[in-house]
Amino acid sequence: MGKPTNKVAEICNLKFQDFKKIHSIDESDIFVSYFGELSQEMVNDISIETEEKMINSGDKKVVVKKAFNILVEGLQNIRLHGGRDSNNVQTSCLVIVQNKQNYKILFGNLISNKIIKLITSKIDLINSSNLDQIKEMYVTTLTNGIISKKGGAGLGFITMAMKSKNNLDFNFEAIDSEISCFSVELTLNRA
Amino acid sequence: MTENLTIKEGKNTPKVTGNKNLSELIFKGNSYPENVLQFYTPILNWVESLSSEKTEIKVECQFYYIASSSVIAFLKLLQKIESSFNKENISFTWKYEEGDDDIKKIGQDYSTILDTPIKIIEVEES
Repeated sequence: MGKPTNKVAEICNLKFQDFKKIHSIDESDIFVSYFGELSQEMVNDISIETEEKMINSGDKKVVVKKAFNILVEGLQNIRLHGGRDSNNVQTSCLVIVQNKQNYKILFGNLISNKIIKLITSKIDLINSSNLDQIKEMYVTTLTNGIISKKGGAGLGFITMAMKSKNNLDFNFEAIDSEISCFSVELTLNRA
Repeated sequence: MTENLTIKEGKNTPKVTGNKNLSELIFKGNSYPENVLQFYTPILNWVESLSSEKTEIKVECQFYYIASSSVIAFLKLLQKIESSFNKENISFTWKYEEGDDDIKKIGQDYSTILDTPIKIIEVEES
């Protein structure tokens, strides 16, 4: 686990610690946690290790597969779109907490203040839609079929919402006039 | 001259076998590479090359995990096949593991978008 090396990372790390603290008092266990810069290899390793831990926890295959998909979408989202601090570090975090009923999955990354409005409207639209409407958005985006040079396809949040079947809770915490810490939290039912 | 296509299975990429003589393209495994264009472009090129020598094609796939960017990239591949071969000469088979509704639905989504019928088949868990 990487150690915070500057003010930006310190603020993000506080957020990361807060999330862990909040959930350590509601009969949840920290299932997986990561703080630092992610490589593609780490995305693979974290996803596969989480899958194994969930299987060992007795989760149903269908829940494990949904969690795996959410993780891959969320972590790749961070790698493709996550902002960087002045030292060019793509500070990010992942926390998964487990309780009897569900998993709560938190992704955190840096984001340029310029795109906060865009991200807010994207997620607000998803959260204000029912599952049929979200599915419609998914099929429309799929049919338009645009893949960016980086390899993104604009389906990350939509797919995460479809898999979790719950709202995406999100938050921006300003670090300075340029950059904020963005976090998105999902709930995945274990039943 | 088109050669056979062989891509070994990776951690986040499927095994891909393109057999020129059988005019067959088979996918099996996971598909969640970070850069889908990098992975799928050589396959698109293989299909294009095959279409200059063959008039029919059979595509079979079975994904375990597939990320959203791969869902789009794979659709683009199927669309490329549709535009390169006559519809009546294309056979698409989409396999999903018993009980895996999410993978099954992706096949159904493709069915609604594409003109070519897709055989959606349930297979036993491996």
